[in-house]
Amino acid sequence: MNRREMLCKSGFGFGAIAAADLLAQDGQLAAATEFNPLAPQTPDFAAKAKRVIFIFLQGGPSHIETFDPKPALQKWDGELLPESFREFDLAQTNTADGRLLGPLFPYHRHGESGLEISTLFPRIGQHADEMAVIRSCYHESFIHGAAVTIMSSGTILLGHPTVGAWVTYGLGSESDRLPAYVAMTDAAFTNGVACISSGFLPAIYQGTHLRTTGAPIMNLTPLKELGQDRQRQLLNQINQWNTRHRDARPHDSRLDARIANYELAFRMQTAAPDLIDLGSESQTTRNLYGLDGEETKQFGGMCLLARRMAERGVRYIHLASSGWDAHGECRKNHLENAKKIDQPIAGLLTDLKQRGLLEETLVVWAGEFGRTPIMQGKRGRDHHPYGFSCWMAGGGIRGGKVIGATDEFGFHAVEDRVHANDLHATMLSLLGLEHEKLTYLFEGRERRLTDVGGSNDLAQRLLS
Amino acid sequence: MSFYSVHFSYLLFLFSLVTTVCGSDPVPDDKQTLQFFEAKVRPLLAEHCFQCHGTKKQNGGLRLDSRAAMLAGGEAGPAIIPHDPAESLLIEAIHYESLEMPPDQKLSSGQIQILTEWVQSGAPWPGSSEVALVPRQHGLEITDEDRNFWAFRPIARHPVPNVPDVTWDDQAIDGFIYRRLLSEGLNPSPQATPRELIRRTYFNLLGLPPTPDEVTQFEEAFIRNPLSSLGELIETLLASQHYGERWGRHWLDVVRFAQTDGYERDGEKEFSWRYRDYVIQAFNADKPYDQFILEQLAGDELPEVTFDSIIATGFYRIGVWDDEPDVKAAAIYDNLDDIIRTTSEAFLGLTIGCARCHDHKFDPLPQADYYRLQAFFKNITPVGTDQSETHWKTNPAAIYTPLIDQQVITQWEVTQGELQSQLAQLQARQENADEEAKKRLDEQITEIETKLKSPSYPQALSVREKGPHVEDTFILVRGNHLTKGKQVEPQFLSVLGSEKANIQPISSGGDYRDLLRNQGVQPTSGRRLALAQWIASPDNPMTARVLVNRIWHFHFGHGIVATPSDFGRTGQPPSHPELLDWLASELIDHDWSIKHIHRLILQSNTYRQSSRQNLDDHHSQTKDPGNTLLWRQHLRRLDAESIRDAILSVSGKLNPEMGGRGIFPKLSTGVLASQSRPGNGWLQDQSEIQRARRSVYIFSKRTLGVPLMESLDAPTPDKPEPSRQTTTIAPQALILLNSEFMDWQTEAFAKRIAAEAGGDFSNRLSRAYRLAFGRYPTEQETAISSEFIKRQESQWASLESLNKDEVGDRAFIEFCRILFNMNEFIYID
Repeated sequence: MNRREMLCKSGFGFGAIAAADLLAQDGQLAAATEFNPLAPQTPDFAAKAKRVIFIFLQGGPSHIETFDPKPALQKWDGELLPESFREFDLAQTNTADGRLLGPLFPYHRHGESGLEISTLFPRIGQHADEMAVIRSCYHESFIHGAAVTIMSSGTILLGHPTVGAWVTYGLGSESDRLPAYVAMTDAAFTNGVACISSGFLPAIYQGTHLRTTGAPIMNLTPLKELGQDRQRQLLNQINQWNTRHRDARPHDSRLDARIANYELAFRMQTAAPDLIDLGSESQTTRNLYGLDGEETKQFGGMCLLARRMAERGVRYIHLASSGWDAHGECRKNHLENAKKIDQPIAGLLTDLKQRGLLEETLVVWAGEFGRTPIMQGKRGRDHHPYGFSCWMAGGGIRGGKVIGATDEFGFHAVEDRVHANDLHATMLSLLGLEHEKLTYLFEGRERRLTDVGGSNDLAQRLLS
Repeated sequence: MSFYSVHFSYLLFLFSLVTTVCGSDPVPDDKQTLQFFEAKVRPLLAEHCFQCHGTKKQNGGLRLDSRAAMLAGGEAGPAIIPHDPAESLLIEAIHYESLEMPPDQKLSSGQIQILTEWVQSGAPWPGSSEVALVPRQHGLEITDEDRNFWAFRPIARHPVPNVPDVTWDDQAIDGFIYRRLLSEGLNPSPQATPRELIRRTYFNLLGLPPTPDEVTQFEEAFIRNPLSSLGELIETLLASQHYGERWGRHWLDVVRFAQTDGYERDGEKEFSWRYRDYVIQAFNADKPYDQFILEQLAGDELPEVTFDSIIATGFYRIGVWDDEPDVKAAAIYDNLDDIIRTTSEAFLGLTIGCARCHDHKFDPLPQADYYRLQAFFKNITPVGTDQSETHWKTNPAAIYTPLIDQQVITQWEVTQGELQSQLAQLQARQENADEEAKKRLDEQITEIETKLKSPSYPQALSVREKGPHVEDTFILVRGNHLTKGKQVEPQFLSVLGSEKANIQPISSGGDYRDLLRNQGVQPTSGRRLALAQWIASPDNPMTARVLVNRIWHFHFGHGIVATPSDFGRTGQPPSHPELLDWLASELIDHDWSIKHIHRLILQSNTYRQSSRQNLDDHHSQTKDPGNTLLWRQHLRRLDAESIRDAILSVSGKLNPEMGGRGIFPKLSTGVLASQSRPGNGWLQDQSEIQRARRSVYIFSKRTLGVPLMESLDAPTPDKPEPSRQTTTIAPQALILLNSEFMDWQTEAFAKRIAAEAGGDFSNRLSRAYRLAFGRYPTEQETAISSEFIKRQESQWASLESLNKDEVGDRAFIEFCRILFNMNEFIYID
């Protein structure tokens, strides 16, 4: 049993940390915690990527309009799909009578690699040589809720841990004052907290929602008069009593987690205001992320915060961009949404690179699925999980490459197919984690993020 | 571990299997089985078989990734015959005898040996939840095997097992639980202390803590006579108005209750609160559950229609409603889908929503069944297909029903007469008026005309039907509203007998219905009544089982069926099937009384067990760490409502006022800004007294969660929520420490203690402990508390603005803040 397992499964764990913390403050214990379940862990093998920024496009951006050029589709515009496609179900449209819709945006070649990216993302395009585009993603669900669940936790069943929870469990935290796993959204999370859930893993691995409007983390500020000292006294007392309470009720990780959360809450009170105070950022940086642009300021702010969190050791950062569900007028929808994120994401990549963080930060861009080659409603497209695109950058990836392909309609992933489980196995691998070894015993079975599937064969191709 | 010891334990394991395997097939959980399977069998299967016979590919129609899949087999028949490797195709194939599998390279003889021994020992596959899940092979056809699935079998009242332990033989439930514990070699726990018991029962039944006096009285009575004192306590609590507030809330989760539409505009569903109040009253009055079902599904079609039964049909209207759908014709079906899913999950525990586009993959629910169910609801007036149509302001008749009697109508007729004469006067005056006066009169006339158009009757958000002629219902191929398939008639679920519904249109009858007819309310088809009667029947095997399981779920933290709204094959099988049936028959035999089931459960030894673990009992902990078989009670974290209500109750601020539109907790501008229209629909100046009411009355707005409630896992009400998550996250700590609500409450708590306990420190401390935890502080706690308060005082004294009394007050407030943050406050033994 390694330390990680011991922490989570034995009765030691968080109570011990809290106690250790208290003792440390009384000067009785030099090293605070041997038993910290969020202490950094050694990965299974050496890897460049230490953290993840997952940019999740909620609603499902069209692969045909973004990273998977389908010039041939133009000539089929208005035609029916060939017979062989008609057995495949879609969410709202019908493969039998749906008419194909040609690509709505032209593509340009970018960088030395000549990677093709649509005109929706001119600025992201400037990073083409850092990006590996995977055009052959697929999974089984064309419904938002289930698809988001697959993309975030590898299965359509609720109650399973999300990638961020697994990564945090596997690698621990590099920050003792910010949550290891932070999620932000420009609107709401599809599936609510389920998309940042720790599932059956101990609750400490759940994502924390950092708000983008109002106070980012609520109730951070204690009463003004006495500030931190008073809060520390309260916390010590609460922890002392909660530890006693816990000691009488072993084998219950909830009680440990609650104790640990008060400690985290206290440290967040000093660290979070510093994190979210963008006053120290230069005008050049603000411009880079588009903080002063009406359309870009919200997602730009999220991307800048992501960089600041990366600097401060947050392990997994989930950024949700909403509204990509273009059932009607895909062109208008994607144009509006892309404008909000193109500059911020490009800015993030530039900024990470110039600060030397890109090498160790894996940036992933994906939606819960792509969109149909056939038209829905008024030049819209339906949900499409049979073939869609994502891209990765940083974390040691050699960019400027394309992996996999869909057929000429953009319907099926046909070459080097990458299932959501494979994508997750690959992400873990880039972080130095073996997806078959990162397990947790639950309901009598060693569970994995990738369940019985998943292959990380892709990782080597991304790195070389 | 050395090679030999591995082998030794492995042999032991095989031996133990052989001895236990006789009779039914094993799904063993013990450690050695698990180790052997996980260490030897599963990796082998995963490495060599799953790639072609797993989730992604099923060559030859065969999956090898679950025991059930192996038994079901593929085109060539079952892959394994447990205990008979010689007859098992899998073993044949790996020997390269008939088929040659795996095709690229034959397994080593050691590997073949492992699989052979595994089949020989009965092919145990740990984790029973994994076992049953294979997609159905039979398509539309419902087989005897389907009908024989545990949930679809008729409810059978099993004899109560005898318990050989005299301390465990008073209650029937205990027989079922105890026998299972015995057979699994688990040790039941001792009884909880009287204090634990009264707190547990208060929170379970009322969602509130007992007062200190109630605890003391109960402790004394319990010593004299444990059972009768507990019985009396249960009766007192079941008679409290707070009982309905607590248990009504559970039901509101199950039926996705909220008071707004959702989406961007998130408009208010006016008078939806009447449905919430109806539910609370129904629980308080112990309305028979069959009646409760009939009223919600067909309250307007019953022989005796009442205000309550009309309000109950708000059930149909409280879901999400998109006022701006992409495709209007499709949106109608989405709204019907919301009704079908909620009805089937809430009452029947079936996920029939899966059959909207295709036959259910796992349960015997053909797509046609979904549309047959839809036919029962087909005649319901849609809320509307966009914001300009059929909503309260523009066409109230589509979804609202006046709550009127003859007296109200007479009153209205009088008012109407008065208004008309006023109108006539104004119109007469207008003829001779100058421009300016004319304008003023115009305004008055419009005002009166508006009043005349909308009678000021109380209204209920309710079901309404379109008229006597019901549109045909068709299967929609792949769920697409444009591709109509075969026509279907209203008919009950095939797997449960599939009788054709006996439907009689409802024309008239009853004073109230006749009044409504006169007011232009259309007659109804009688379809919903037929469905409601089928669901609320003692012969329906699902209904009573699902309900008693929900009750169990809320008393123990998990159900006998761990998936309370999914009794199908994707759900969990019951841990105690006979107990489930016994409780279901008790419910039916006692006039569907929910309170009767509470009494049975709450008086049982099972319920009264301590939640503490015996630290020496490693066996139970190892064998059943999740406590599925209930060898102890679960330590429960209070849910969001109970935490907020307990704080209000302990601080003395709780306002017990019931009912009405609801309360609007104070929200920061940051929180309000998260709405698409910041601040929209949220009253920001309610009085403190209103804001101190129970959480069930918090206005339930789909796009705006109250952070305290949200962070403590109150569900988003968009879908039926049978079982809340319990998370532990840092924002909970921040909210319970620093929020404005907590500042308000801790101060009130401190003031209350000062008022009730005077100036003496130890009196104050005792009072605080008794209010918060129902007990006195220990000596050690007193010392620690006093030390803490002294330290606080010295801190506050550093502020020159405070005088000595104020310093003392501040310190005590901080102490109160700590009590609210203690695990003992929110975790109930």
